[in-house]
Amino acid sequence: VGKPKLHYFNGRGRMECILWLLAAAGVEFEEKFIEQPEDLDKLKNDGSLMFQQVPMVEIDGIKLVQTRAILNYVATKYNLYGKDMKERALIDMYSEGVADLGEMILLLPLCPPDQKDAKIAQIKQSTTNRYLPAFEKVLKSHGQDYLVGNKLSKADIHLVELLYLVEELDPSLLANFPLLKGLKARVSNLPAVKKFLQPGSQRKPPMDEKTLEEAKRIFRIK
Amino acid sequence: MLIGQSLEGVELSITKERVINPHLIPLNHPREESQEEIRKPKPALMAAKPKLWYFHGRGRMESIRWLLAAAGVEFEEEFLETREQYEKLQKDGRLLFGQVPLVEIDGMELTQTRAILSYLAAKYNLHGKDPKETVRIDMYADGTLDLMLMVALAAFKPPEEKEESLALVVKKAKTRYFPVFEKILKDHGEDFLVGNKFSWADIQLLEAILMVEELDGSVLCDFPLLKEFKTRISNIPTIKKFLQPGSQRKPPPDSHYVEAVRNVLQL
Repeated sequence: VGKPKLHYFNGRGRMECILWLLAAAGVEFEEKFIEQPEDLDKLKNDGSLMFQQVPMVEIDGIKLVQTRAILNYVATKYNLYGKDMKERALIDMYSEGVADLGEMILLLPLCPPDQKDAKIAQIKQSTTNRYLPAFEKVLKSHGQDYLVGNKLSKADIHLVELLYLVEELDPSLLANFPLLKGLKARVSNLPAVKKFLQPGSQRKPPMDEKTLEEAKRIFRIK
Repeated sequence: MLIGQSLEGVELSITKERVINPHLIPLNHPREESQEEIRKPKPALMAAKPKLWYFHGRGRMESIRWLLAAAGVEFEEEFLETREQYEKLQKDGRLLFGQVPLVEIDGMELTQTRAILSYLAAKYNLHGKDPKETVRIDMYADGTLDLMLMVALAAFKPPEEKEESLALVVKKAKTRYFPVFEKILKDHGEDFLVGNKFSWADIQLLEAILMVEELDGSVLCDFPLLKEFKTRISNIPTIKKFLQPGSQRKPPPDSHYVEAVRNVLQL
């Protein structure tokens, strides 16, 4: 049985959270980068993409699509999904909150220039007024090292990934959240995550103009 | 509170009976799980019906209603009609991210649509028998959910954009989603999408088919297996009952609904 194979363009986008999860689980994986629109067409035409979309991950003989389906499969496989249904529900609830804020940050490069400042302000507001307080409160309520069941789960990994994104946007946003800072440090020090955070890993850098143009070209976005 | 107002001729009321069909779907018993205190321990409510908090319309709650109804689970609804109700929910700390849908179930206050749906699917044995079946169900359900959310969001757009969005939904249904499900059914020749057993994926697909048909009645004309699927799943007794007037199923969003949501959320 080979390593999981990730099909995406060479950038963060919707695949990055999958990279983080696999990396944190200590799973080696391969990446097949889509570099031209024709590469994407080929994947579509040979029936590899169920809904004509990437991310697509080949794992255990199946070609998985839909980010959440992929994340949940990986989490189940590598025991990062809690010990029962109720823990899973909490993990899902927290992960979905992370995904909502993550989505806003993800789509920022596509925002028209004249709306960008307002959008950034809105994201910062949501970060400090809605999302970070919610997670800080969860950690405070039980005083444990991880969000759910006193054990590392996908919720912690997704959240820490988000905290790095928030820090890239504006480091001061994390100022009033000591427990989140603690979680970030703790998860970052796990050997597999520490390795992933070092230069030379498969982790992708923030999107720059060049990568944005490449993504637009590949996905035929105007 | 329990009897809703009449909307477009549909009288909304709480389903009284529990309908179980031993032939078409297995008896859905909730799994025995560890009784952990999660957020606010509410021992008195452990055996109570799930309670849904949302606006008086489909939105992001409708798929949850479908899943509960299909599983033959009775549920209660509290409708958000005023800003004050919403602010109270927030102030009481019941909305993790300040948002609805909110479902009170098994002593938990769950928000985030997909988290709720996954929990219910697992609880009522509608999420496959192993991880490979579960991931297939997730892929199919996520695809249909994406499509249905487009319809929900279109209601809030200005008229021209709304028409464009809805036309795009029909196009995507016909070219991206329905062909996939037609092929799945064709390839295995079984009655249900995954594992020859009724699952959450089947419920979502039926909901999506009916929603798109409301936009374009001819949308299934090239998909004979989906037509049969639609009839077959609609005839499952719990679903048949949910499709009848008087159930907790909600009508398509109208301007009244949009206004009510805008008012409560101060959009």
